[in-house]
Amino acid sequence: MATIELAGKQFDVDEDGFIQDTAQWNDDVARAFAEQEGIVELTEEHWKVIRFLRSYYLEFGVAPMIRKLCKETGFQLKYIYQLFPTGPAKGACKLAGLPKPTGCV
Amino acid sequence: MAALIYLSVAVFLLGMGWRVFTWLRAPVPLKIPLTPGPTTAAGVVGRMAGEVFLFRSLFDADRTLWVAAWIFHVSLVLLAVGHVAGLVVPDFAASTLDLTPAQFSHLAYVTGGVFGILAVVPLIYLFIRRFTMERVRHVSTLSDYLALALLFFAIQTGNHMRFMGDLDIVQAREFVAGLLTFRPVPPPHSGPFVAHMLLVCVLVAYIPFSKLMHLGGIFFSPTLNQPNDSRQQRHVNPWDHEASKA
Amino acid sequence: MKPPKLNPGASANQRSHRAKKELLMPLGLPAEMPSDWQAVALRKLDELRHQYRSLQLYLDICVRCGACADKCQFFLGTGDPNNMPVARAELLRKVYRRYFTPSGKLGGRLAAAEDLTDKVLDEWYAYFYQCSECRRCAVFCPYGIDTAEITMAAREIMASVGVATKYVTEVVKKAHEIGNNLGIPEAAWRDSCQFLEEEMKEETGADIKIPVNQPGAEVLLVPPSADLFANTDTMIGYAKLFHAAGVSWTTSTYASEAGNFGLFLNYEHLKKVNKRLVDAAKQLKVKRLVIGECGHAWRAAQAFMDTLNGPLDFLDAPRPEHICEFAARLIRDGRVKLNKTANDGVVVTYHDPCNVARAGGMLEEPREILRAVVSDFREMPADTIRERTFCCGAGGGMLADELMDVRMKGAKPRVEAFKTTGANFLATPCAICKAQLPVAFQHHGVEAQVGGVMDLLGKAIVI
Repeated sequence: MATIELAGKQFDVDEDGFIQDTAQWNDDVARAFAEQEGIVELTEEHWKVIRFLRSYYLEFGVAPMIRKLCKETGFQLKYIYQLFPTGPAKGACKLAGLPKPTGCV
Repeated sequence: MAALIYLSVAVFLLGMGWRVFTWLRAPVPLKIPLTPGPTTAAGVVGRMAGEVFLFRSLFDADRTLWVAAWIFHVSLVLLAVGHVAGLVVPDFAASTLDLTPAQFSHLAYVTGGVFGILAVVPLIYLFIRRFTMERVRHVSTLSDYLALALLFFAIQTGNHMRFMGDLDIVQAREFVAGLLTFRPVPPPHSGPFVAHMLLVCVLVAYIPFSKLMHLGGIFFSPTLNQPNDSRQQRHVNPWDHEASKA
Repeated sequence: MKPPKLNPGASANQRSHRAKKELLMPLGLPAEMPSDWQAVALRKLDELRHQYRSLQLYLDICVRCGACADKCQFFLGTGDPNNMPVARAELLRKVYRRYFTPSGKLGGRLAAAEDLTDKVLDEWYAYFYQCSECRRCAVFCPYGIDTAEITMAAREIMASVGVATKYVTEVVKKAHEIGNNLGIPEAAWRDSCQFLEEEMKEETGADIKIPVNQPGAEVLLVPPSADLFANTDTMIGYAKLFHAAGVSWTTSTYASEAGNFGLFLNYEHLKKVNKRLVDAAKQLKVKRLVIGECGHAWRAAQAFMDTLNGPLDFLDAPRPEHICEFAARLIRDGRVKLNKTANDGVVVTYHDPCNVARAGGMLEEPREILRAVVSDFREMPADTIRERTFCCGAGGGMLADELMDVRMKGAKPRVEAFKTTGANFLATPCAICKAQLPVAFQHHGVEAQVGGVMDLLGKAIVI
């Protein structure tokens, strides 16, 4: 299992760099990942996406539908791609400490 | 000579028999026809006929190769038919065609000559293609060249006899008759004849151990010979009994 | 597309992540490679050639004519000679010859036979996971040699010694444990359906339902779970169709996935994933089992389901059904009212998913629907559609990020064909195509939308 250092702490990550234990997540992890993803600064809009993803995941055990994410945050999908260049299923989920959504996505 | 011929035919028959057995002993557990495909048995016969007689798929895949392959295979079949007509049943063939023996031998000369040439020219193309076309050269094995060479020389020695005219056809007929009645007589005194027979023997015996067995294999190919009827007819997998019981 | 110059090893480093023991063990696969792995693998090869006539025959009769070579999108895209179908199959044939044929046993390398070594296994792992099992080569082979049969055998052999990809095993595990590839649990499934109902209410004012686990419904619709993640317009299309036609239907949280990644791993898991659909249909006592917009799901359902887990005679014939077939019938019967102008501005072309066209025979119905709901429908060039369609480039268990390079190269023939149409919408009934092609469009500089046939139907249905 690979590990990385984020914000001075060690984390187990999968091959794509997603943290394995979502309970270890904190805001600093998101900030550290943001740097990796080439996001200059996490704005309130980024946090809105991250917080919704996390709260949905903690309630349901899976990432929300992209349509629901757009509706709940009020952002269009295009805008979410501007916030998170690798998209809602990759970049945004990674920052939020969710496991990588896999399947036909 | 005769012993060698009997041996090669025996190797061919046993070898092909073994091959067909290995194909038939393995069942077809799942429906895998290429779709859209025929849904009825008659439709399958039509599809197979298109592939066997017209090389339909190859026609779509590579037109130049199709021309060469089709001419070669048709010529080869016609040459085989010609050998039977000219060497085994000449009187029957002549009378069926309503020809005098002289006319018949003239016809044999022309058709044998034409198809003899039509068979080797594509072989030369196939050889050059295999050698010059990067993609094909990359996947070519020694056995691919060997098969081409055997076919080429086997047919070319036949052509040699045809055009150089140094074969006594009556002796050849007696030799063949001797083989077929299991009372072999010595072969005609002709270098090309002996070479031709030797090459054909090697070729025939080689078929079951080589890719040349595609001549039988095509008939067993499930993607082509299965009807596309999985929703009308239940297909049972013989080695998964759970499936057949449930 | 013009065939490229050979570039040996061009995509040799394109490898899926390997599955580790956490994924292998739950699927009953060896957690680690056994020390006698060659013997185990060869026993498996021997077993498979006795079980599958296709395998035995296709190992024996290839003449290496090369007719298939330039038909594979992965060869056209990468130029890697091992991506020519004939060469891919030779990777397995050379081992077969070495151990199971007289010429290979005696002739060794001269007979193009090779020992099963770590190096060979490594090649297998790279190139048998760069085949999307799309069967395009088989259409052009004069003997119908289907490289997918060879690839499936090779993957099954590898799995028997604990060599499989993380992507495929992870998805199969979720399908077994949760019921769908994305791992959407029941509560989330219900929440998502309810959310889409609200969305439809907002749009149409009507109470259009997406029922969950409704016993006694006429239809059990099994969508790919991606329809409840990214392709929600497709899901809405199904719901509007059933609503408008007055057909009672349901989804199932037990069988919430049409896709069957078992097909990309081995027979055992193909069968096991497939069984969930049959069990759910029986349990919910439906009359019809309708498969949503998922390519290989249609192969697993229409060609294999009756054999694997049948008989299916508790269902009305024809069984099972494809959503396009079902929808086309409702349209023909005048059961739904359509308004084409809802799709004004859409210039649509249809991409045949490989498994729908070449393994499922569904060619006319999607086109019939598109012509009924869009006024500008165009075809891509004839040698790239219907049974000659190009794979989108990420079928067969290849839709993993680490294969992005070969995926994008493999998508090129499809994208080039699309460009000739001037269309601004590519419609296709397959979740893998829908995930792969937008990325490919962006990569190759094409601006167009990708969506389902149901997406456009849903917009045109008058509620």
